[in-house]
Amino acid sequence: MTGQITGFGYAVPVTVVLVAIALVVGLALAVSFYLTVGWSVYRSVHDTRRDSVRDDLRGELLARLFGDDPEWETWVGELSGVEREVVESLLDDHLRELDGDDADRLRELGDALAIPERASRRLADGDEFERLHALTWLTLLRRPEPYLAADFRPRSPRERAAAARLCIETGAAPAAVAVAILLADGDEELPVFGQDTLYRAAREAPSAFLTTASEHYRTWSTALLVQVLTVTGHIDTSVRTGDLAWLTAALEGDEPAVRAAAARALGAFGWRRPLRDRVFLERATADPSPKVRAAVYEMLADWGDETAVSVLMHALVSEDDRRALLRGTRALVAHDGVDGEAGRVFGDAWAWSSEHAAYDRRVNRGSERVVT
Amino acid sequence: MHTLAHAVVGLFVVTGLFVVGYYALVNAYYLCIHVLALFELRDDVRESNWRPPFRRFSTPFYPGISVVVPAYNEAATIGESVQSLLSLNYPEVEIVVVNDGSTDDTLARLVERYDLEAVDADVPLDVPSEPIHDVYRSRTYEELLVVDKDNGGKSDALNAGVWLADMPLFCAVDSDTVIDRDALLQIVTPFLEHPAKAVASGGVIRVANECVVRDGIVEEVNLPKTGLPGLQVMEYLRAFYSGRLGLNRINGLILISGAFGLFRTDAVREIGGYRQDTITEDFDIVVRLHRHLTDEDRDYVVDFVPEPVAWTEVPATRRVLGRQRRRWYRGMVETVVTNRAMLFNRKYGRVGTVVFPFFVAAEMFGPLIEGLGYVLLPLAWYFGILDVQFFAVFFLLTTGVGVFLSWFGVFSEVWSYNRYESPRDVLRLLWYGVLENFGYRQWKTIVAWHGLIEYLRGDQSWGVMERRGFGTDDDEAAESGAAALGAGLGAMATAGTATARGAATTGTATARGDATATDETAANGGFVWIDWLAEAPDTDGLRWLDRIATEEAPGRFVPDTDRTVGVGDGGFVWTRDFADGVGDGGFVWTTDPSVGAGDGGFALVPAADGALRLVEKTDFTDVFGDGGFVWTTDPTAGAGDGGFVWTREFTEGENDEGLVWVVDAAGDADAED
Repeated sequence: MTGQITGFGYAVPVTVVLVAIALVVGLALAVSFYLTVGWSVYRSVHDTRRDSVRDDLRGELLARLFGDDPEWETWVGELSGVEREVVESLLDDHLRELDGDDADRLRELGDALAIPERASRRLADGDEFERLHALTWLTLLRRPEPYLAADFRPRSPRERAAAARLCIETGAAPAAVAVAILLADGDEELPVFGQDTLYRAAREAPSAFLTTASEHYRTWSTALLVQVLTVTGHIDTSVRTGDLAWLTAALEGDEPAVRAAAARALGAFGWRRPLRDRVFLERATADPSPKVRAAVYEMLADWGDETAVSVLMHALVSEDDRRALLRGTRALVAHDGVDGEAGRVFGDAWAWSSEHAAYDRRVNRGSERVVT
Repeated sequence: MHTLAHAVVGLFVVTGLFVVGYYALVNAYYLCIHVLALFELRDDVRESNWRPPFRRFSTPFYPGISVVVPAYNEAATIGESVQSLLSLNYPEVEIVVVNDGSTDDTLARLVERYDLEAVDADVPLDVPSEPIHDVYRSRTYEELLVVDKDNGGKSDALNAGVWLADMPLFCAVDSDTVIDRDALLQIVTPFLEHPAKAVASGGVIRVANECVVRDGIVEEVNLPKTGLPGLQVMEYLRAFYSGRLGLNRINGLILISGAFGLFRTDAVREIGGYRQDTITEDFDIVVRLHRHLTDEDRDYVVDFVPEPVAWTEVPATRRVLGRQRRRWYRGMVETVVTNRAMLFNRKYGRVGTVVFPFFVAAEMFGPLIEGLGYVLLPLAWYFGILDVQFFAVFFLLTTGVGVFLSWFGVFSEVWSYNRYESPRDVLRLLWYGVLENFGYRQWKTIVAWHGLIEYLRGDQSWGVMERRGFGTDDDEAAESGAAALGAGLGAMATAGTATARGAATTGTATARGDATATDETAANGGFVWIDWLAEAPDTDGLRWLDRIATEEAPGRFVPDTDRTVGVGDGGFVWTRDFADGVGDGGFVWTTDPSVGAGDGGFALVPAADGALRLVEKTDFTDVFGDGGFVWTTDPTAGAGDGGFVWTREFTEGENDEGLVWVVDAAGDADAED
C-alpha cells in the first residue's frame, strides 16, 4: 500500500492511517469484550448471591414482623451489603401491599436501614430519578420530615406528582397544597400517577380543587385541562359547594378534546338544576365533532331524566356518524329506561348495543339471557 | 484499447472509493445510533426501576387496552394462546380474536372452549375489512370478543379488530407470539407518562427457540444451540438494543414490530387503519402515523420500551429465513417508495431530514452496495487493479467494526435486563457476533438483491399468501423444506421404505399443522396434516397443512374432485384398499412404529416451547397421541382399517374427493369456480 492522505497541511501515509484505525478498532474490540464478559460474570455472581438469600431473608423478615419484637436494628446490623439490598427490595414490595399496624411496624425497618437519611441526601444532591426514589421511599415510610426540611422544588411533572403524593399520604401538608403543587405548571400534562394523585387530593379538598380550576382553566394547556376535567368527573360525590360554571363554559370551548371531557365530567353533576337548560343541551348535541357529540350523549344518558332522554333520542335520530350513534345507543341501553320498540328506530346500533348489554349482564350475573 | 482499459480502471476506482466512503458514512451513523442507544437504555433502566407509590389496579385513569389477535388456521394452538392472553396482568383489558377465514377448526375450537355465542345483531360500523360473518361473545369471559370474517390477510384482520375494539389503546399481537405476563403493564409506560401525546409504543422481540415455555409463560431463557437461530438472536439484540433505542433517543423511531406493539386506537382509525396492499404492515403503519401527525401539526410521542418482551420463534433454515428476509426487504422498499415524500423533507422534522434518509441509506441501499462490492472485488483482482493488501486491511477493518457494533448490542443487553444470565451464553453471543461477518452477512446481501429483484418484478407472492392467510415468522420456519406432498409422496409410494425414510423431516411442524422439514432430502417430499379422518374426525391424526411453501411457489392442500386442479396430476385419498393408489402402499396411523415398512415413522413430539413438531421416530411412546404414521403396504396395519394413498383417481377413495396440492394461482382459479 502506497500513497498519502493530505489534510490541514499535513501528509500522512495511508499505511499509518490504516494502522491507526486498526489500533482504535482493536482497542474498542478488546474493551467491549472484557467489559461485556466481565459485567456478565459480575452480574451472574451478584444475582446468584441475591437469589440465594432472598427466600431466607423474606422468611426472616416476616417472622420478625409478626413476632413480639422485631429488633430491626439488631438484625440490620448483622446483614451484609447484598443482604441489605435484598431486604430493601423486600421492604419496598411489602409496604406497597400492607396497611395498618403491620405496615407501621415494617416502616421501622426502613428507619433501621437509614433510608430516610439517604433520601434526604438524594433530595438535595441527586438527579431526577434519585429524587423520585427518595420521594417514593419517604411516602412509603410515611416520613415527610426530610422533605419538609429540604429546600426541594419539583422540576418535572413526575416530581410534582411524587411530592404531592407524599403530602397527601403522610399528611405533611393539606390536600389543597397538593393540588397547588400538581397544577403549578399549567403547560405540561401530568403522568397518570400525577392524575391519580390529583384525584386523591381533590377528593379530600374538593373546594380547593374546583376553585383552582375555575380560576385557571383558561390558562391551562388542552392536555392538562382534559385531565382536570376527567378528575372532576370522578369526584362528584365529594362536591358540596363550588362554582361549576367553568364546566359548562368548557363544554363550549375551542378544543374538541376539552368539550368531550367537559361532557363526561358534567355527566356526574346532572343533579344540578342550572345545568339542565334544554336550549343549552340541544346546542351541545349539535357539536361539530362526533366525539364530542358521543360524550354529550353519554352525559345525557347518565342524567337520565325525561328532558335529557328526550333530547338524547332526538339527537340520535339524526346522528349520521356511526360510532357516535353507537356510543349514544349504548348509553341509552345502559340507562334502561327506553323500551326495545322505541329503540329499534336506531337500527343496527340499537340491536348491537342491546345484545352486548345483555351479554354483559349475563356474565356478571350468570343469569339466563335477557331477551331484547 | 488504452482508452477502454483506462475507463474500466477508472470505473473500478470510482466505484471503490464510493463503496469505501459509503461504508464509512453508514458505519459512522450506526456508531452514533449505538452510543445514543446506550444513553437511552440507561434512562430506560432507571425509569423501569422506579415504581411510583400508587396502586395501579385501583386507579380509574389507567387506559384500557384491547389486545387484537389475528388468527388463521390456528386450531391446534388458539385455545392456549387465548388462555394465555386472558391471563395477562393488566387493570382493564379486552381480547379481540379475529378469525380470518380459517379453513380449519379455529373458530369451532374457540366456540367450544370459551362458550361463545354469536351476537344476534349486525355490526353497525363501516369496518374497512372483508365481510364479517359473526361476532361472538363468551358467556364466561366478559372481556373476550371473537370476530369471524372472510379471509383477507393480516392487515385486514387487524383492521376488523381495531374497528371493533372498545378500548382507547390496542395492542397488535401475533397469535404465535408469547408475551410476558406483565408485558402490557410495561409497554403502556409511554402512555402513562404522556397520556395525551403518546400514540404508539413498541417492545422487544426476542428469540424463543430453545426457550422453555409452559402455559404461555417463558420459564427458562436459553440461547439456541444451532447457528442460524443463534445468529438471529445476535441480530435481534443489535436491532432492538442498539438500533431502536438509538432512534428512540432522537425521537426517530419509525418501526414498531408487528408481533407486539401498542397503539392509540383513534389515531390508527384516523389514518384508515392498516394498509392491505403491503407486506410489512408494521413498518408502514408507524411511518404513516408519523406522516399524518406531522401533517396535522400535532405534538406526539412514538416510544420504545426495552423491558416488555414478546417471544417468537425464528426460522431455523436458510431457505425459510431467506424467504422471510426477502419479504421484509420487499416490504421495506415498498414502504419507502410509498412515503418517499418524507425524505429530506423538513416538514417532517428529524424523521424526514435525518432518520428516514439514513434508514434508507443503511438498511435499503447498504446491503445492495455491499453486495456489489463482493462482485467487484474479484473482478478488480482479475483485472489487476486490486491492491490485495489494501483489500485485506479494509476487510479486517470492516469486519472489526461490524463485530464491535454487534458486541455493543450484547453489552447493552448484559448491562440492562440481562435475560441471558449465563456468562457462557454471553460468550456464545459474542462468538456469533464474530461469526455473522463470515458468510451470514454476505449471504444477506444476496437476499437483499433477490428481494429487490422480486420487488421490481412486482412479485406479490407474500401478498397472495396473505389473501389465504397471513404468516408469521413462525409459520415460515415451519414451512421450510416442506414440499409438494403430491409429488413427494407419489415418489415415496413407489419407492417404499427408503423414500419414506428420506422424506422424513427432522424438525419443525408446529401443532398448527404447519409443514415440517429441515431435511434437504425432503425437497420433493413432505408430510401433510389433514384435519379429519374419514372414520373419526376428532382423533389424532393427520391435519390440514395450509400453505406448504417451496422454493418455486407457495401452496396448500385443498379438497377437490378434480385431480388436475393442483400441481401434479393427483392427490391423496383415504381408503381401505391400498391398491387404489399409485404404488403398493400408503400411510397408516398406529401406536406401534414397527408396523410399517421400516422400523419407524413420523410422530408429533411436544417441543420445549409447547409446539408440536413432526419428527422421525422409532419409538412412539411419549409422543403426542402415543402414535404416528408409518408407511406400509397393509392398510389394516394401523389403528384403523385404512390410510392415505396417492392416486390419480379420486373416486378410488372413500368419497369422491381427494386432497390436491395447489399453488395460489391454481387455488384462485379453483375458488372462482
